[in-house]
Amino acid sequence: MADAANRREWPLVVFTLALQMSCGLVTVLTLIEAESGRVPAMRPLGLAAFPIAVLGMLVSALHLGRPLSAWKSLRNLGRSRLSMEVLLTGMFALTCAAYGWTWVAGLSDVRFPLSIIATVTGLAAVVSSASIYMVPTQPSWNSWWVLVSFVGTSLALGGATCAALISRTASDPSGRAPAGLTVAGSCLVLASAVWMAKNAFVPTRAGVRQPTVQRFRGTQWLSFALYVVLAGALPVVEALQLLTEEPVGVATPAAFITLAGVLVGALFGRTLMYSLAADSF
Amino acid sequence: MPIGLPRKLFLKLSQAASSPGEPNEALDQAAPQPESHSDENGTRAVWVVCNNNCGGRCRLTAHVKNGVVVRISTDDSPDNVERPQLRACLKGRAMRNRLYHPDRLKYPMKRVGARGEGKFQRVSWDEAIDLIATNLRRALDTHGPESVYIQYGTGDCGAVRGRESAQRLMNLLGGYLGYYNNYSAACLEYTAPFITGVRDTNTYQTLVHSKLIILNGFNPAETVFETNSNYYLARAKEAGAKVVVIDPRLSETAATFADQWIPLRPTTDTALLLAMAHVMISEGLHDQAFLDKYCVGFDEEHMPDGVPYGNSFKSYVLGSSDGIPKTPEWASPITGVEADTIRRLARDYASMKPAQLLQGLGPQRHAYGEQSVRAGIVLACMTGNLGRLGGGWGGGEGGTGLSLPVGSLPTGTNPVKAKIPVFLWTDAVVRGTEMTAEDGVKDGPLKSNIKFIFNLASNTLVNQHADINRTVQILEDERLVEFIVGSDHFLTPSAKFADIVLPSDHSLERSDVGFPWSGEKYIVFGNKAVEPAFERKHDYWWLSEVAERLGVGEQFTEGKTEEGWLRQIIAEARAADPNFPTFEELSIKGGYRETPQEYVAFEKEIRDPEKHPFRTPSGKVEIFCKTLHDMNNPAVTGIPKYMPAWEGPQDALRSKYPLQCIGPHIKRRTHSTYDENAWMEQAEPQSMWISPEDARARKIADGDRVKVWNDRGALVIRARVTKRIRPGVISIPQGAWYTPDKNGVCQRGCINVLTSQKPTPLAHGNAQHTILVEVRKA
Amino acid sequence: MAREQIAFFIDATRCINCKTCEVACKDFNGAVTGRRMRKVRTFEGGEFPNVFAYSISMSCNHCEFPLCVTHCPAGAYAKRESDGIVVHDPERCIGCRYCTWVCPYGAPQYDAAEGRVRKCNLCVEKIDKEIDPACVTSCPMRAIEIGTLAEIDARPGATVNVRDLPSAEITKPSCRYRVRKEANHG
Repeated sequence: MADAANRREWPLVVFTLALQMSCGLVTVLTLIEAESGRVPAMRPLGLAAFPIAVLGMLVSALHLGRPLSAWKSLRNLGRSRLSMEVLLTGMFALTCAAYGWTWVAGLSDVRFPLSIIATVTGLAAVVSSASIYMVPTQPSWNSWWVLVSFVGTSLALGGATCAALISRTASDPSGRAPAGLTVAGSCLVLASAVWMAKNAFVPTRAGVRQPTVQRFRGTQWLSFALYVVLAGALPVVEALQLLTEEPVGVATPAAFITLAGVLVGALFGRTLMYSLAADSF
Repeated sequence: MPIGLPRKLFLKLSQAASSPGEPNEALDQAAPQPESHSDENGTRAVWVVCNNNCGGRCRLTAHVKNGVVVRISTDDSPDNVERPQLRACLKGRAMRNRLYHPDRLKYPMKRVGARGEGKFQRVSWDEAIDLIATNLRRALDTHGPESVYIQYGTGDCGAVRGRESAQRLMNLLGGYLGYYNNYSAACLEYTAPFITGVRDTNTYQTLVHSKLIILNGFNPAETVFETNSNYYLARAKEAGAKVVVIDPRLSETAATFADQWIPLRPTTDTALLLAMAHVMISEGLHDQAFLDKYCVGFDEEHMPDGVPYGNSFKSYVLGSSDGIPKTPEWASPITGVEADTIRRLARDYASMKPAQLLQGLGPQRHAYGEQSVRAGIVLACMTGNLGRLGGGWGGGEGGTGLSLPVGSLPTGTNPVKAKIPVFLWTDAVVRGTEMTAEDGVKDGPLKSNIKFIFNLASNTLVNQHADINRTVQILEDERLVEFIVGSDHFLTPSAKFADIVLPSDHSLERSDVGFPWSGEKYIVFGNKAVEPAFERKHDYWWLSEVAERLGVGEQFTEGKTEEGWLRQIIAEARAADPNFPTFEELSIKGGYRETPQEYVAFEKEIRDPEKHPFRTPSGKVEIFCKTLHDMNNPAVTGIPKYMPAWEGPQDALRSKYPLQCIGPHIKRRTHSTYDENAWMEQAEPQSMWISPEDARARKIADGDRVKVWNDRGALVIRARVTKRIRPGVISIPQGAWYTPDKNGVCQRGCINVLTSQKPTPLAHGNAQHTILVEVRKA
Repeated sequence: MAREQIAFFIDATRCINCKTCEVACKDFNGAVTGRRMRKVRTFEGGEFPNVFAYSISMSCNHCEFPLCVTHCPAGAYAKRESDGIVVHDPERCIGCRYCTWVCPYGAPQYDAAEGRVRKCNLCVEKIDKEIDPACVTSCPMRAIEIGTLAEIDARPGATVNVRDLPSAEITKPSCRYRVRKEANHG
């Protein structure tokens, strides 16, 4: 019973997805700008990265027993991966704020360098976030699939959002980057999902010799299916279309469906991941 | 590994006289010290007693701050092998969670709904006492004293308790209907005296001398037969004793101590023991000289006069009387134990000496529970173990032949001589006047059915009695029992059926003493740690008020409060034994304890049979008991015999209800006490054990809610699928509080909705472990 | 490495699974029902009728490499230099529960009402006065002891490799057991 209560980790689901979406957004915007130098309709997305990151951080505090003490999580910076994650996420949010400001104030000179800094910080935050789960006492998580999944989700979320809102045509570079990232991200998601499923059947828990197999149970199978289909297969199919067919208009239903699929799928997948936490010994 | 107490990291510990908040005066050391002392935080430490009705009686220390117990610790007198501390178990350590439980009764209440419905209204003590006095007067005037019944109950274990107080009151008012037996050991206590004259047992200190210890349904690790019973078992094992546990469950005792676990079918203990006797006889392993010298009835050469040939134990075992040799091959299909296992056990028992055979109370709470007790004694004689250090036979607690001269509240003499076997009280409600000696009524017939019940600190009225659905039906009918007075800490399933419910004080809220079940010579003194909150009172107090209303107040109290009586009891003990301390000394030291001794039951009788004959008609151990033989009851036999139990493994009813169900006592409750305690529920949740085979056949997974039922009732409980129970048997720990849903299905798993009121043939005791049931996923 | 690491010795061959240590610990350390800073776990093996079962009483093992100390973001954990006791300071705890994920032994116990984790501090307030901790003095079987790790390691039968326990390699627990032969993995 206590385990079930401890697994109600929705604030962490929201936080990790928000961080990853925000990171994905600045990544895709950086790529678009790097490739084409053109910035059509990028402004709303450029402004969105910061509030999404902040929202994630605020919600993450709800996961704490003492939300008002959240700042104390920086106290063990030398050693704790969690402290590092909080620090990097904070830094990422600050760079997002600066990046957003360049859109507000029209500071186009520093925009691109700032977007690069934000992308690097964001990816660092996502990587450190994944490292938190890769501990020997959590055999279901303790492998690179978590990292692959986090990065893949970042790219897929950022790409799909971008594709839905600002893509023009496949021949247009500002459409190619989002579609490409969506495909790449979703492929990573698919790969990590299979990997997660394999790990969920790890026969031992933290070196416990007696097998206590963590299997998918009941609704976990459904979550897994939705995760694979919505966040993995659907975006790949849809985004490939985006890459090959032309012309594709702004905000096509297909692009919105892809975005919705990635979001809902990622939500199921992340919830599933937390439910795979080892039974407390 | 050398035997002994663990080494201490801190040598200073036992002399840590200055450690704040820790009482450290040895129980027996002479140096007096203040009853309590304060540490720098203003916390007072006072000796109190853990007075639950298990076999142990343990010392607790209440740490009191601002009138509130903030912590409980246990004995911290010097701990050594000769005098191991009286450490409390989990229940004692959870005392605070009972003392301050939000559901504890706070005020007197009277019933306003239908009886048993659970609707009550707060009343003043004055009104409550008036109602009790009026109704008691009416019952006495209308139906006479035999209509008044003071229910068996063990929720309070002090020297001045509600039960004795009520008996005292009734004796002043013309008497009451008495009972004999109890719910724990009816068959044992009733039967053993027929065989050995008195029931007597070794102290557990003797275990360390045994080479072989056979525990037959004996499970002190969960039941706690004595504060240190398990400690002595561990010492015996570490000294090299082989331990064999015969039990359908791999109990905690079996799991910890058993070199060999023999999981037999419930109710078949006697068959197993008889087959062991057959092996010994046929292989010539028995101690013929011992049998010839100390026993009657083993063989045809040693039978009492006037008994036809062929009635001896040996004739029965060899089958010369009934044509059925009681071989291991005969016993194997009955008991479910391999014949070779029985054979090896018999040879071990006959060759590894000294060996103790300890029988728990479980096997005798069965159909024909008298027989397993008798068969056990016979085997102890056949192996020549009786009366020898490290040998002997034990039923239940140890050292029953010892005692301190500490009494309890004097109850006076009951002018009513009639008594019923306690288990038949529901029958005495329905058809008391029609009951006869065949029902176990002594000095009958009864002049009245039961019309008025005192149910004080007792959950026997409903929860602990068998066949709850029948009991409830009887109690609900207000034409049968006209008035019920209940007192308790909680509105238990029994208290719910009272017409007046009174809130009792707790042992920590009064001066109290506690004694162990065993004969180990000590008492634990409990100081009043805190004041009773709300309107909680000692039963003695309100009974003295009732006495006042009925005109016998002065005779009842003799001017004394409950503490006054306690002082008198202590003074009388001191008069009998000058070493015994004064009340004040007891209070300061937290009790009195003589060094535990190696007491061997029947040692005198064996050492010098001429001077100390067994206190039986023949002066010997009556393997054949003529008194029982002459009862001419086919179910009460001259020698111990195996009789297939009703609702046993050989009953045809198994086609409908294939599983045997037993109701073990478990560590988290003392009977039904502590079922309310959340700490205990966490330590050991109420759950049913079922074997993987039986679970698989019913598609039951570990942790599933299951329904268990038979013709008498049904309950819902969580299943624990475990290899630790014999296939074909389930166990439902007794003592959970009956919590019916609207269809009467108990949602808490109280086994007594399934148990039967059919009594055992001789003792008229409770056979509450003998039931057949079926289980399915709820 | 601490100078004189304190360690638990648990004689599981004596443990009757009575859970007195659990309750005594609870009573001494805050009395929160759901929190089991010491917990007795039972394991079973074998096939009927040759079944065995044994129980392991465990709280915090005050490990040589405590993951809680490393991973707590709030720095609520510290390993004492003098005796190697891993102490947790609830005042610093922010209730992130990460320690409950990284500890192999379930030692940190979260209570939602308090919003904080607490765990066995080996009754340091008693230890510092040279009094045995609550669990040790409570055990009716005298099966729980504390001592220096070096001394306890040298006891007959003392092992850290027990059939059903997490691998000792993860954190190097300061706890040794005496267990029945079926459960002893060297």
